[in-house]
Amino acid sequence: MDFKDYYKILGVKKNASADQIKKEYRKLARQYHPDVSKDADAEQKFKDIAEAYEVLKDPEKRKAYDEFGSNWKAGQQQQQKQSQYQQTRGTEYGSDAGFDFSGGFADAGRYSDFFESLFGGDQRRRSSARQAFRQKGEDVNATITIPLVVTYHGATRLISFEIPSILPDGQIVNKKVNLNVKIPKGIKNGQKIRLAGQGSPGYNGGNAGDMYIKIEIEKHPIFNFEGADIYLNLPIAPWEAALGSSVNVPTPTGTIKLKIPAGSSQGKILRVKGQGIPAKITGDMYVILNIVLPPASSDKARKVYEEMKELNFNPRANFGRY
Amino acid sequence: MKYNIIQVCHGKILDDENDLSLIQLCNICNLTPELIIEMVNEGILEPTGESKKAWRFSFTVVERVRKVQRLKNDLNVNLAGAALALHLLEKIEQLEIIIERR
Repeated sequence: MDFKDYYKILGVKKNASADQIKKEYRKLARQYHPDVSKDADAEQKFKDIAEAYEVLKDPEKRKAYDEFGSNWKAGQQQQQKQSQYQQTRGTEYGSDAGFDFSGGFADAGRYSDFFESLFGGDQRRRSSARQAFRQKGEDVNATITIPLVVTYHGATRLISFEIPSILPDGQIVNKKVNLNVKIPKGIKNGQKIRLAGQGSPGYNGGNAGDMYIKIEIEKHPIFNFEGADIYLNLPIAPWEAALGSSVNVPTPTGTIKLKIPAGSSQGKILRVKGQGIPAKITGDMYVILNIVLPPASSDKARKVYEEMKELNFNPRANFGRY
Repeated sequence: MKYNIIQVCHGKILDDENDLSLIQLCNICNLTPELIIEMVNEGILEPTGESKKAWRFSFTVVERVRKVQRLKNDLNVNLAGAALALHLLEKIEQLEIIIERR
């Protein structure tokens, strides 16, 4: 277990005032809040920040942490300090934390081992387990990433996860659960599947929580998607656009022949009906034409471009008007 | 021949067609009706139906409600501030989709 430097995490000096600590916490929280940040490690960073603030905002906890920190290297009083703190504070701390299951990320996850070794386990949960309330178990969230093609056929996926359950004495144990989940055909990116009753067990006879599985469709090298519609950038040669043609176009499940009308311009969008994701309302595929010029790197190509010059085509003809 | 019997869980896709009453939404989110009503008044949630009893929410609002709660609790903003953040985050998401499509 590593020592956590809460001052460093919040970027404040050891003698920082309560106001400074609050200010830095707010700043970092806005930056790394998992609902706001796209950073892959935002959630971990935010948990560290929240944990640091949890300790440093409370004068008593801060004092205990400071004493603990100066003795860290010696490492011997650790056990003693911990039990002292828990004897004096533990129960009280649990009772006022109460029943807030609507909380944010800051109190959703469990604290680090370091925090728990100093301040004891997650008393909030323990205290709620002791209450004689009938309470619904917590919902469990999971994410499954699937390739785009899976949503065209549907599939079954095995997922493994750990559900925290609370024993009658208030101890928390993680129970490993394996579940085969049917991924229905036509599911769209970001949609959720709800498995009723597959979450954490309820407290005191309450119903079990639900399991929510978010489906994320992997980024595809050539297809983009939004809702049930998919988008394809189709490179075509200038003569295919100008003279019209019929080209083979990939779809997520195969290939179709697509007619390019003569006189198509760069960026023109063609709709292929019914080739999108087969959701309740089947999506369409949109093909965006992207005219690609052959490089003038050979004599032959150069000659063709020279000949085209004779067309006297001026793409900037309408600039003269401004 | 030995067969392994695999039990498969079938879930329900949560989309716009699922109808939740105020009470059902409160149960799923573990919140009081007052908080949900506040969110409706703030324009964060737009249920169908005229009276509170007839209100129907889509399942997609569950994630929205949770996000608002997290923003409120973690960043210490009020409901109007959370609504603004939510609105701007959704705008960014839309713009990112447009950029990616190019």
